[in-house]
Amino acid sequence: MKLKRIHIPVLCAFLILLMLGSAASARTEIYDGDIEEGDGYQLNNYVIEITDVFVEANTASYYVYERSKLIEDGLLDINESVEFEFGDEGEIQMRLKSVHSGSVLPRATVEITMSNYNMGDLYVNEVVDGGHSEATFAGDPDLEITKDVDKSEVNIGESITVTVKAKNTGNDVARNVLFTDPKQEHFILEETTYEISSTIPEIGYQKSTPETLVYIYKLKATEAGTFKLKAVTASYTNSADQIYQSASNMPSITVIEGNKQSASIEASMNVDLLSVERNGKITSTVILKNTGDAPAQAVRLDIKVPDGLEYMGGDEGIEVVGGNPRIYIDTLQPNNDKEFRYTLKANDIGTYSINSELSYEYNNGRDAANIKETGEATTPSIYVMKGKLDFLFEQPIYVYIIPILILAIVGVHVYRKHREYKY
Amino acid sequence: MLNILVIGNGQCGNRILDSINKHAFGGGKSGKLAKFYSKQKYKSRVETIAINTAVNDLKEMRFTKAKDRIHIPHLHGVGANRNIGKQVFDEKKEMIMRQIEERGSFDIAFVLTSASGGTGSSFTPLLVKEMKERYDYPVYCIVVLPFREEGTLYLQNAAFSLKDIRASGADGIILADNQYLKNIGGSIQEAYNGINDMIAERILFLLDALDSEMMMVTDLGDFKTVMSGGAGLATIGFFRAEKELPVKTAIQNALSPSGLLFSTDVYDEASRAMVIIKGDRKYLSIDDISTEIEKLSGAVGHVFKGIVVCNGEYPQVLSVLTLESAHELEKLYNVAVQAIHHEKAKKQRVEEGAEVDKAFAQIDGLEPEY
Repeated sequence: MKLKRIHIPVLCAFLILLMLGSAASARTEIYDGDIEEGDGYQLNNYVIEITDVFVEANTASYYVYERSKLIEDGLLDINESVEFEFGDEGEIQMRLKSVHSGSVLPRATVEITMSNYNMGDLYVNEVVDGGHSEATFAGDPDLEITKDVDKSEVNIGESITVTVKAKNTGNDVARNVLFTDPKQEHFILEETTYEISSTIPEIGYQKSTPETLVYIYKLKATEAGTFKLKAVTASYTNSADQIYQSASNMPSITVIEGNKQSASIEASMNVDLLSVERNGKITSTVILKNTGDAPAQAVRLDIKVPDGLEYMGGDEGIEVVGGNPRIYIDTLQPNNDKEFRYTLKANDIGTYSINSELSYEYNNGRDAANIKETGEATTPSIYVMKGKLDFLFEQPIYVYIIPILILAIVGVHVYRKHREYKY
Repeated sequence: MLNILVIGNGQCGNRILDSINKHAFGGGKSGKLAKFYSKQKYKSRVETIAINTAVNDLKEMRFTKAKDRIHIPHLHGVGANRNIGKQVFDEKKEMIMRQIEERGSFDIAFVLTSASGGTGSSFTPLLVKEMKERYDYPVYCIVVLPFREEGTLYLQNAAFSLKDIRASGADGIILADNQYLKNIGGSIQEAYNGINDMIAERILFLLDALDSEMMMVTDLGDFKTVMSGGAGLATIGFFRAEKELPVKTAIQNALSPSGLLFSTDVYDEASRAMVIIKGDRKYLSIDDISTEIEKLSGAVGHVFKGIVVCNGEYPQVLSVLTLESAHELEKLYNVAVQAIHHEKAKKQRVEEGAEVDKAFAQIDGLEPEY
C-alpha cells in the first residue's frame, strides 16, 4: 500500500511528461546548422534571413519574408526562438542555439522545426546565399477558361457552336494542363471542329501569351428548355508541381420547341395503255415526289409484276430483284420528283393492276434515329385482250400439222430441185 | 413417142439449150422459179446435153439439169482457137460420147452451136462426125452465124467451122444469123437473149410438132425429106399471132424475112419446105392455107404441110426451108476471106517485129564500158 502511495504521483508525472514529450515530437526538425550573416533559409516561399550576428552580445537579428513581403523580424538571444505561421495551418519555429565569429562573417547556429505541415509538400528547403534577395519563388498559375456559344437561343434540331479558350492570368506557368469537357445533356455532339486531345505541357502567364484555343464543336439541341452548359475544367501544376484546378463559365442556352421536319413521298404509277392485245407492250410511268420538308432517304419502290405480265426492261435506275423491278433512290430532296419508265409484255389474257410497295426514311431534325415510312401505289386496271393471231392457237393440232407437212414437202421438193439444177 | 437428143455445144449452144429447157417449162413466160413448181412439157422423150470447156458458161445455165451439163476440163475454154478445140475434143472424145451413149438411143439429134466461137465451132464438126459413125439416126446442126463486126477471128472460125460441119456428115444445117437478127434492139445482152429465145421457141415448136397428132400430118420422115433437099442448108421461119389474125397472114409472116432466122428470099432460094400451122379451128381456114401453100409450092417445088388444132390459141406457123443457094452466106464468106487475109497480114507484121529482135540480139553477151 505504501508503494502505491509513492508511485501514483510518479505515474502521473510520467504521463504528463509523456504527453508533453509526444507534443514535442510533432515538430519536425528541418535544419540544424549555421547560417552566415546576410544569408537566409528558404522554405517554399518563405525566407528566414539572419541579418546581423552579434557575437559579443550572444544575439542575432532576423527577418522573415513571404516572397518579398516582410512578415516577421526580431532579435534572438541564445536559446530564444521565434515562430510564424506557414501555409494554411503550418507553423515554423527557429531557435538560436549559438553565435560564432566566422572567418569572414559571423555565423549563427540555428534549429528550424516545423509542425502541422506535410514534409512532402516542401519543395524548397535550403540555405540561400545572399538571403531573401537571392531566393527564387514559385508562383500561382491561374487559368481563366471561357466557354462561348454563338447563339444563346435555338430551335430544336438547330446547332450551336461552342468555343472554349483558356488564358493564364496567374503569376506562374501552368504545366501539364489537362482540360475536361463533360458530356452535355439535352444536346448531341454534332461535329468537332477542333479539340486538344492531349495534355498541354505549358501555358505561359505573360500578358503577351495569346489565349489557348481548347475546343470548337457543334452541339445540336434535342430538347426544349433552358440549359446551362457544363463547365470545362482544367487541372494543372505550377512550376513547383503544385496542383491547381480551374473551371470555365457555364453559358446558358434556351432551346425552343420549333417544328419537326418530315419527308412525305407520293408515288404514282400510270400506264400508257389500259387495253392491250396479248403479246402487246405496256409502258408504265412511276413518279416519286417528296412533298415534305425533310430529305427522304433510302427510298425504295418494289413493283409487283403480276403473273400474266412480264417485265421487259426499264430506265437505268430500275434494277431487277427476284424477277421484279425495284426503284431505289439514296436521297430525294424536298419538293423534288423523279420519273421512271419500264415496259411490260402482256403474256396472258386477263385484267391486271400492278401494285407496288413504297418504303423510305427521314430524320425529323430532332431525334437521332431516322423515322421509317411505308406506302403503296397501284396502276389503273389493264385489260389484256386476245391477240390478232391467238385464234391460231385455238385450232386443233392437225390445223398446224398439215401446213407444216405441206411446207416440209415443198421444202424437200425445192431442195431436191435445187440440187438437181445446182451446178 | 420420138426420142430426141439436143446437144448444146459451147457458150452459144449452151444458152440456146438452156432457153429451150426454159421454154419447155411453160412457154416464154416461165420465170426463174418455174423449175421448182413445173415440169418440162416435151411431147417426146427429149434428152439435153450441154458441153463446154468453160465451166462458167455451164454455171450460168438455169434450166438445164446439173447432170446434163458436161464440163470438158481445159483451162477456162479454148480461147476461140479451133485448133486447140479440136485437140481437146480428140483427147476427151470418149468422155463426151459416153455421155451420149448413157442416154440411150434416139430417133433424131440436134446439135446447137455457134460457128464462130471456140468450143462449139471446133467440137461440132468432130462430134457430128463421131455420132454419124456410131449411130444411125439423123443429126442436124443448128448453127448460129456471128455479127459481122465481132472480129476477124470469129469470121474466119465461122467460115471454116461451117465448112467442116457440112463435111462432117451432118444431115442438115439450119442457119441462124445474129447479123440478121440483131434488129431485135436493146443491149447486147438483150439482143443475145432475144436471139436465143427466138431460136429456142422455133426448135421447141418443131420438136412438139414432130410428135403431135395433126389434122394434116407431117412427121419425122417428112422433116428428113425436107432437110435432105437443097444444098444441105436450111433455115426456119416462125410467126405467132398475138391477136385474132387470118391464118393467111400468119403464113405470110412466117415466110417473110422478119420471121426467118437467116436472110433469104424463100421464093427464090428455097428448095423444099415444110409448113406447120397451129391454132384454134376457127382460125384455120383451109382455103387460106391452101392458097398460101400453093403459092409457096409454086416457087419451091414441094411443100409438106401439117396442121395442129389447139383450142383457144391464135394462129402460129413454123416453116422449115432448105436452101438451094444462100446469097447471104456468100457475102459472109467474102467477109471471112478478107478477115483471113487481115489476120495473115497481122501475123506477117509480127514476124517482121522478130527482125527488130535480131537487132537487139546483136548486143547479147556484151557489157557496157565506162
